[in-house]
Amino acid sequence: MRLLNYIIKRLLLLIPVLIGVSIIVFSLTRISGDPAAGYINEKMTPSQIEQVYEKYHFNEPVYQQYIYWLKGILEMDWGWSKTAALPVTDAIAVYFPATLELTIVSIMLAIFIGIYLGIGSAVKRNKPFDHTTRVVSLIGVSLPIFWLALILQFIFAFYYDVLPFGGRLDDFYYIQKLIPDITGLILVDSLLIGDLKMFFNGLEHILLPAVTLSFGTIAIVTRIMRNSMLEVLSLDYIKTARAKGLNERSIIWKHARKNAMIPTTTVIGLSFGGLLTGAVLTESIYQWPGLGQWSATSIRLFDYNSVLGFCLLIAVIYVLVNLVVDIMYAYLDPRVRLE
Amino acid sequence: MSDEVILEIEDLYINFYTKAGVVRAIDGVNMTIKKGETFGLVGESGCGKSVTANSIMGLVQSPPGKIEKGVINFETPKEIYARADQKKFGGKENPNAEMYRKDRIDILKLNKKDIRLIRGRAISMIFQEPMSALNPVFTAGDQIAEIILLHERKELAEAVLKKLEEGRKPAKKYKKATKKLGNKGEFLCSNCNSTVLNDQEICPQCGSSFVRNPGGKRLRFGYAFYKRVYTKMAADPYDRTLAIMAKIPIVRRYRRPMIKEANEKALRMLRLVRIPDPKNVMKSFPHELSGGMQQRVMIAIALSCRPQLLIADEPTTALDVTIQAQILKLIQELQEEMGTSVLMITHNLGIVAEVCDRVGVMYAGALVEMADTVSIFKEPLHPYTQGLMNSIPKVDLELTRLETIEGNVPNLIKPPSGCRFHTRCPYAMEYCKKEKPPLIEILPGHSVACHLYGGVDNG
Amino acid sequence: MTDGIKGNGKSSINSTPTPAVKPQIKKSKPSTFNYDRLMKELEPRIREAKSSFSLLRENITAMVGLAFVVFIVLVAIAAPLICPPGLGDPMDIPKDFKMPKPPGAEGHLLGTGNWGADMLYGLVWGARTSITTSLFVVLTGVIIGLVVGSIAGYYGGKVDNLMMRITDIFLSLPALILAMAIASILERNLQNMMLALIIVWWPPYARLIRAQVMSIKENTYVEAARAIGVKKSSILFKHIIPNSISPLIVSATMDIGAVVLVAAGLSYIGFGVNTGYAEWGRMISDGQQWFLTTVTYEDTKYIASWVVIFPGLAILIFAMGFSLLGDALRDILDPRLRR
Repeated sequence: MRLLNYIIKRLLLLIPVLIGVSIIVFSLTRISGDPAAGYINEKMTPSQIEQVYEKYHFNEPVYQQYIYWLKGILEMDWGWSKTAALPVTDAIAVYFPATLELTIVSIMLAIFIGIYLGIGSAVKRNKPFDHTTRVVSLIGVSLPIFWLALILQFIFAFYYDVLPFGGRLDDFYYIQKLIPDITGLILVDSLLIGDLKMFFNGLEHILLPAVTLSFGTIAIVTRIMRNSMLEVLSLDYIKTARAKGLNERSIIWKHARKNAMIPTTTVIGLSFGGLLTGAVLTESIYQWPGLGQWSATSIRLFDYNSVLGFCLLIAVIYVLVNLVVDIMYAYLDPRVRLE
Repeated sequence: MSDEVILEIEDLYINFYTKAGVVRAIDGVNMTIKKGETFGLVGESGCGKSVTANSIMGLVQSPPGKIEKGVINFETPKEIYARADQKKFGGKENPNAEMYRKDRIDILKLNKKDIRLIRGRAISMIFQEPMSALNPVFTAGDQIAEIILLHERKELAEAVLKKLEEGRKPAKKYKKATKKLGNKGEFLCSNCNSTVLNDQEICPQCGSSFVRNPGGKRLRFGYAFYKRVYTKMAADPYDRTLAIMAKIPIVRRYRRPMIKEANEKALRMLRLVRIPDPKNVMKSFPHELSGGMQQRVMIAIALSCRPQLLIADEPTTALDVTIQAQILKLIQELQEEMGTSVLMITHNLGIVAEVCDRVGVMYAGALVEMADTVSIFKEPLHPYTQGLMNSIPKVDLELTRLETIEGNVPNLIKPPSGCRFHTRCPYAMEYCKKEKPPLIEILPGHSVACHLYGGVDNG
Repeated sequence: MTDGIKGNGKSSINSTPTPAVKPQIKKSKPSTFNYDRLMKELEPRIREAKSSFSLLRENITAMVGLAFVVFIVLVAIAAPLICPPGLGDPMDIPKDFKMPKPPGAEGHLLGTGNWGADMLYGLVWGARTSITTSLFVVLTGVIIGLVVGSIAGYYGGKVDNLMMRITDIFLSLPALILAMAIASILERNLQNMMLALIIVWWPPYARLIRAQVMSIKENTYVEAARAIGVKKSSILFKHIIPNSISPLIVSATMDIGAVVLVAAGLSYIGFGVNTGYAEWGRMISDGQQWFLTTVTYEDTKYIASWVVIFPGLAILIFAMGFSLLGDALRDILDPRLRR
């Protein structure tokens, strides 16, 4: 019950933040030259353009425009994307699953690898494993993502030719139009229709982009987990656990880990934003047909409307993800709910 | 209180190797604890009381600490006896078997695996700050049940088996009995949970001839499975197969009845430590409980496996005075009920006077005097003990100034030579700087480490 | 035999001290007084610093970080010496408009990249770009954040609420996204990119300072100062800010490295600088088209990987250096954390 109240309270606090975000994006749309450009496409006749002006009240004062713009946003009318030749909302719907798949795989990699490396590093403190992990971690945070993408492509796709250059599946599947479209996530869909070959092909293709995208996050998670574990392992209740006669394994994986995960979950949530922004760079290099590639192309084509639509979407997702993380934090740490 | 000694520390030397230097924390401690008694270990902060206690449990962190020398003899618990007979994986005998078969075992020589058999089971410990000593993300009930599940598997397994048997009855008899009471309907097969009609004697699905009352407990895996698993556990609580099964997600549920039993025992323990409303406390997290309740939970954890020795490291220092009295009384009562010996570590002489049978006084890493409480208070022999007794403010004496012991606690990296107290001792002699006095029994039951009382050559 | 120090030799018993002596005393007294007092104030801090430096010397990573940073700074300062600029804008890399040449080619120590731009030149002058960009962004961000955060934290109440809501809104957008949004609207040049980065970067500092100020505010010595009658603003400047600066310094140092990564990302996408400019991120995006192709030079075939590898390495070293330096600073400035 207390948890429910906490959730409701947080949801209510969400609204002013979202409004603020919308105001920022709105002001950006108005600075970028003719705001109507976002809603007009080449095919329109002058009378249609006039209609657009009427509809969005471009002739009226700014705050009026904001209201109508906001109304439009809420009604899923985000304007026209030059890049995709579709309305922005449709473009998002088309490109979203690919990015979603990539992001999910990246987060899973980040969580599992990061947590295990972090715990291992803490337990084997100052031993070679620890030192190597920390160095690799440091490099991971200091790497430019796009550079890493290019290097990985070079090594694995070009030099050793073990993994594909990009795309989600081999061309063969696209030509033969064999791609299922149940959830939009190729890994899931291929399993659903039982085509294992397609599944493994999809895995092959997603491996490099996911590793690239998650590299920085893995580094951060490892570092946080390591620091967290070191702190926890020096606390009194670990001593009590030892005094009970528990073996080291239980102490580390049951008692220490649960406590050490608490700050880590926050970090994982916060790095979601980093993943989304990294997707912009990564997807374009790997030709991954997702939101990132769409927005990167939009930038090159000066399609402000798409870019801003993308930014608005990311902002909303980011805010929601942070909310989920906060709730999970309250769930994991019983001391928090008392607020 | 009998005269049987259960713990004996002989000549213990422990050093800590730090960046600042080698800390000679424990410098030749000799101590004995008898069965059923409360032994108080007194001394100032930093004199080594906690380190001694930790070393009994094997909790001294190996870097930076190192046990240079010494023997801690303990009455061999039956688990260690059992280990002597256990064969190693390839069928070879345990190399330490001979050591394990003796009456007394040296705790310092036990390897990591064996010392875990002692911790929490034969010897357990409670700490100073109960808030930080309990894990904040697990409930109180969980933490008590955890130690029960760890050490008392055999008893739990037997209890589960017993409950299993009680839960099922042979169809014939059961139906006859309930027929009398008028239950005409259906019964549930005890093995596969399908319905067995009134007139059937065997379950149509699986052929089992045992039924149970529909309102009774549902077994997920079937009776036979549980019976086999728990008989195995009762025979060998740490059986490998069972341990592996405990890791596989769904199969893992076989432990549920056992966990339920452990929780019930945890509830009983909470009642034992006189916690009001134990059911709520079971589900509470440590930060939701008051300091006194937290300490009671700690005591419940420590005593749930009936240890022979309970080490209490300043259990009441962090509590209010009124709660202090309650907790001490609780420890005393439980000690009498269970026959446990208690090593009470404290710097409060009042507590010593109240609850301890015998006292050991520690100074700068060595035990300087050991006697029963009355003698210590009435006739303190060692100058340090005398100083301590004199410094207790007494209501009836009219003093203008409080008495103190001159000087400061020595730096243990560069301790004074010879007797470590000689720099502050009002009776210090030349000899005291040269030789460290050994702990000698001067009067029956009263030992002192001081050259004033020795039969040694001195000035 | 006259004592030179005493001046003109006249005895000073009966007459007032001659002007020659008086000014001497006046001049030396204030300066020695200040120097002594300064030394006394600094003495405990110097002691701490000395022990910190010995710790530092033992700490390899800190030394490495310092080495990296010093190296890069020196390179940036010495840019005109290492690679003398031609006519025109020194930031425009000299190009010979031929195919890229491998490292070791004549006159090009590290080879050439897109349009025959000299790699060494780009790296060396790019160091200048990166340092100036990062320093400028971080300093401005720090100042803004310091002002906003300390006012919000100290005066509390409505002021605090308002400022924190605004900060929250900016914080709820991922950095790159907001920077992208802003930079896409404005004209694409270096100044606007820096502006976008500053707007993105000040909120975390404001948050940080506010938290520090709020916790220090409760300290007794602040209360004591108030009781004596010190003005609120004086307290803020003299007592609170100096004490809250250390985490800010640590954060700022590490952010210098982080800003470079984001700036490189933005340049890569197409914001900020124009193609051919000496900026590492730009060099990577310019060189990407050559990355996996083969070029011929003096009858040998090479895979033009250096075009991308060198600028990326530069970014890596830059970011790593400042990261390590920030870590080292953290260890020095917070004596309590020394384990």
